[in-house]
Amino acid sequence: MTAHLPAQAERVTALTFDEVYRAHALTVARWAARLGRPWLDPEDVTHDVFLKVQRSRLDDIVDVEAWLYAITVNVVRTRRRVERFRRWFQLPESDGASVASEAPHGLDALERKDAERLVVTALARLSDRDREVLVLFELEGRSGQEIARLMAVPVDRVWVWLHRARARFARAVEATEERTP
Amino acid sequence: MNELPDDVKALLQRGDPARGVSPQLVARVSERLETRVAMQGRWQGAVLVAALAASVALGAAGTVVVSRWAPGVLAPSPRPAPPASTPRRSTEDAVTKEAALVQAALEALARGASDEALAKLDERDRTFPAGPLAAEARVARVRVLLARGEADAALERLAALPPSDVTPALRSTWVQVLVKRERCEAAREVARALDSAAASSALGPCAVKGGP
Repeated sequence: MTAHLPAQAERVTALTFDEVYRAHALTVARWAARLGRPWLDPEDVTHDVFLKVQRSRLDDIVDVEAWLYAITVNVVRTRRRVERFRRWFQLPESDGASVASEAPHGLDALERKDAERLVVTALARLSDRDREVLVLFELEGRSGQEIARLMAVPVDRVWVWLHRARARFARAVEATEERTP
Repeated sequence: MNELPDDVKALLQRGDPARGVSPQLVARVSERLETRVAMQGRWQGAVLVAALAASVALGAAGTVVVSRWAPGVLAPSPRPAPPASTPRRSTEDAVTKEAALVQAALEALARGASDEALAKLDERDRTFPAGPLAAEARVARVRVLLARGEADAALERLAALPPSDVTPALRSTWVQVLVKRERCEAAREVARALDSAAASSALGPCAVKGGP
């Protein structure tokens, strides 16, 4: 895996937890929202991610962002599984209704909320990998090289995944719109 | 390579699920983490006190044990960081196994095999003491205790459940158990979190203040 790391993945030494939190917490929260909605609360996911960071040896980390991304993806996947089990057991859970809870009010906000609901529903129909690569490229605006670094894969594979993810997302949007009254 | 159609691209930007994420969220998480660290510190202090007490009781043997709990060791000890591509198989397997145990307990309960249900829950608690399905296991245990007629033990556990674990259905059951034991005041208190129809139905004769 390390072989795919491009040269710009610099080793950062003597990082403190506070430095990592200040520099990356908002990014992690955005990843959490984009990868975890509508099932998961980004605040809870961000909390879990940094709890793991707190317990880790930061001076061993070569590429902080890629490491945080891997933790976020793992937390989101694990929590999604737990949410699925929780639904079986009929315990309270976060649901899609909480989407964009911090959004502003008004007509514009309503339209945005509709758009958001459409997007999260369509994203929810994708596989983990499709969703991850699409979010990183289309929403985060990351380059293919950066995505390759974060996902620890060769860049040509990123392009193939992105190609397929785009087609599936467009179909998912279409299907979601058809079902929405 | 195909691009997303312009309208879908625009939709994706307009409906970005991270739109609601703000610096306030980051501040809230920071507060939660700080609270947790403070609590951890108190817990570690308690462990140290317990270990010191043990050393007094055990004499030299205890002192050897306590020496391993020196303050430096008690500070949050950094663990090796996971590699960037941590395999998720083990985590998934653990959650799956834990879920299988809770599920088996619920199935046993449904069959009326409460001993087996308790055994499965005990196994779950032993194997996954900090597992993500702790809430489900706690609730399942309450249901098993109620099925066995161990109402006092069930009530004790119900009172200790975090509010997020208590579904309206479980709360109704809780109220009914209290009513059966003629603890109307406690039943009314527990029923306050229910909507009025559910509360009135669960409270039965205790619905009116001054009831049995």
